[in-house]
Amino acid sequence: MKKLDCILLVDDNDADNFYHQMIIEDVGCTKTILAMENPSDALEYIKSTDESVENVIPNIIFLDINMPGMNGWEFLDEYEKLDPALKSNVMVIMLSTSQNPDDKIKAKTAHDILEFVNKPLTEETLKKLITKHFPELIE
Amino acid sequence: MAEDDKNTLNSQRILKGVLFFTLIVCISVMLGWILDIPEVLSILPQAPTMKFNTALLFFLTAASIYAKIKGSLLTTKLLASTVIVFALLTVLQDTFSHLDFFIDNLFIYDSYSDNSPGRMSPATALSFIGTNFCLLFRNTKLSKGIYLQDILISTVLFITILDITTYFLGIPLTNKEFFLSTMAVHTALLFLVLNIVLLVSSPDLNISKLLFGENIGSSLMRQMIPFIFISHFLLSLLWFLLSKASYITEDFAISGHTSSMILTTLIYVTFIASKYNRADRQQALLNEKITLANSQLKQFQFALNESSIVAITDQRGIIKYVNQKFCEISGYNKHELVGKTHKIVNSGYHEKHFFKTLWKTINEGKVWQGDIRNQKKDGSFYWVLTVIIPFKDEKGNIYQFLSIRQDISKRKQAEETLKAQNRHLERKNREIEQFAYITSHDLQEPLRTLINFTNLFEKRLSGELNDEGIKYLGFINKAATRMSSLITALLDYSRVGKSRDLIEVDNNEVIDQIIQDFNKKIEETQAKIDVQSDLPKVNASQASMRVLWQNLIANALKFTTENTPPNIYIDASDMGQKVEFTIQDNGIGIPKEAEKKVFQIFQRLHTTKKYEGHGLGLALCKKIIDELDGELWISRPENGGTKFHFTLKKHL
Repeated sequence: MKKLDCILLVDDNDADNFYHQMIIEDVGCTKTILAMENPSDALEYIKSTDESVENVIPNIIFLDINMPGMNGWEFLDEYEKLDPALKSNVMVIMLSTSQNPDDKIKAKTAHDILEFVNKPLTEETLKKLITKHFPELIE
Repeated sequence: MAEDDKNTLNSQRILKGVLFFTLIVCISVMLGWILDIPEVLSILPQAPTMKFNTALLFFLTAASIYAKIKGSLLTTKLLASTVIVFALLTVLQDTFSHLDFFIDNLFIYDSYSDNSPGRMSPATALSFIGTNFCLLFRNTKLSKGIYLQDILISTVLFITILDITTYFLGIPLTNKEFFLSTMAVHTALLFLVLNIVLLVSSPDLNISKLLFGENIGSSLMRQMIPFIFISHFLLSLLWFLLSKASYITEDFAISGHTSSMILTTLIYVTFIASKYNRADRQQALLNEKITLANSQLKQFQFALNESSIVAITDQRGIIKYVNQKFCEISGYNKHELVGKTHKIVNSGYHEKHFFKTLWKTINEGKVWQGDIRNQKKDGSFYWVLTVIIPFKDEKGNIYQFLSIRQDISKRKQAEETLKAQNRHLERKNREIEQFAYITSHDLQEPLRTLINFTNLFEKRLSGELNDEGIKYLGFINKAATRMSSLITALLDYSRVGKSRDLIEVDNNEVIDQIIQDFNKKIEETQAKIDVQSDLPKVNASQASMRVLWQNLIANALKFTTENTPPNIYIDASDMGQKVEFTIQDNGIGIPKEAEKKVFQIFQRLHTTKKYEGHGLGLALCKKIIDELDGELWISRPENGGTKFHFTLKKHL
């Protein structure tokens, strides 16, 4: 099985980030896992991939909604302003505890987010997502 | 109005015809004198002749009347004066026998008459004076002038009737009084005709009013006069002829005439009187009805004035009338309102378009209705429910608008308050909803961490723990998992009824899906679920119905007695507008004293060890059914178990 270059986790909860990192490691579908507790750091990182060779563009961004300071929606507003070249191969997936159905609808209609996953991310869910969106990795 | 024109035109035509007839008669008489044709002059042999002068004066009189009709006043008076002067001279000659103005045979020599040849009778001369005097007075409005004309015309009419009667009764010339001695019958007829023309064309005269009026007396006159004339005349003629032929004596003729006269008159009067009595009774009946209608109208008016603001405007909207209520509510008095438009109470609240639509509607002749905010004299506002009704005349043109208004300020205020309260409630509800989501989210997060890491611990580090440690970890994981699902259930509960969009829900479909979901559990317990094949469809939300059936079926599968496979029966019965659904099981049952408790949130009858659960399921069901305006209750079947009943509105 081939591997993705990078998966980026954006979540203010370090325990969740830690747990999700382990799950992703166990599935072993990516070369790099980045976890960021601050959405603005994540934005900075994505911008920096342009200049720095070391910083790889993430294939998947798992984004939480409820975060202090900048929340998931505000992150998306900023993210959408970025250079399209930076986003061309990036898939943003909402990863949230939110049970508010309005959030799911908002993600799809306002931000064109195709996937909405409830926490915690499980190995099964991640494998399904990979199979669905990156079929070229599984041979 | 067109009919009136036609009538005037017709009477004008008749008048002209009559005048024309008169002219023909007098011209033929004049020609008769000139050409010596005696038949034209006296009609009956031995009867008096119409003199040339008489014919000439008739000619002038007719011309004078024609001039009057044509509106040439001077000509009328000139001609009439000439006639009067001529007739006066004749009268003078008769009064003073020594006088002779040589007018009798001025134009033609009378060779037929024995007495004063060529001279008209005094009666004829006086009739000319009377008739033409009326022409001189024609346009007067003075009551004295009118009385004089009345007297003159009636006198002339009396003379002519006297003459005509003697003529037709065949009383010989020699027996006539001197006064009428030489008045010819056609002279009398022409006077009759001309004076009737005068009457018809002078509606101001009292006789005209009496004869041609619309009142009941005039009607009586018109019915009596022809009868009086004809009956008297015929009876007189009859008795006169009988006596003359010597069948009866003169004395008997007089008494016979009198008694037959009394009889016929009585019969005719009886006939007329009963006719008038009938009309009078109908009139009285009609009056009664009108009085009743009037009093009802007054009561309506009173009720309207007591209850409503009433105003009448002309077609441009200028106020013609306002009632007391209008003044009381607006604070303006009548003088301030009448002559103004409703702009005086305009509050400026409504847009121009609003009033444009209003005017468009009422100008099309339609009734307008709506709420208007007006302003009082003191500047405060009041709301009125307004109805404006256009009034049309016979031609269909709008000539005024009636507006009836109800003061609805209190209602409007209540509506405003209600709206504000609703907005407030909506905001609060949204807040509570958001609160529920945020709380559940924030509570779930630490729990999830607990669950995730106990799982991870068990998976990766269980080798480092002894059995006791693993057991402790199990308790932690189980408790956290339970709390997490409890929070989810609580959130579900708070969300029931959020969606108000009701659609047609097929219960069989929903239940089939649930049974599939419970497949594993059903196999384990060997449960038997019997569902009526055509459950009625209901108006609800798909999600609510799913939660409802899910909980009820789950309960039936869960609360079972040991070693007895669950037996579940789902049925429905039509209750007209509603449907009653039932779900019956053979489980442990619910004691009567606990019936109320089971529908309350977090109320449980059993330990979690014995039967898993949060104490939310039935509370959720109850809330769903409450939201759909249904009812939920429990009954206990005789052979044990529980039977849940609920009603819902049928999908129509």
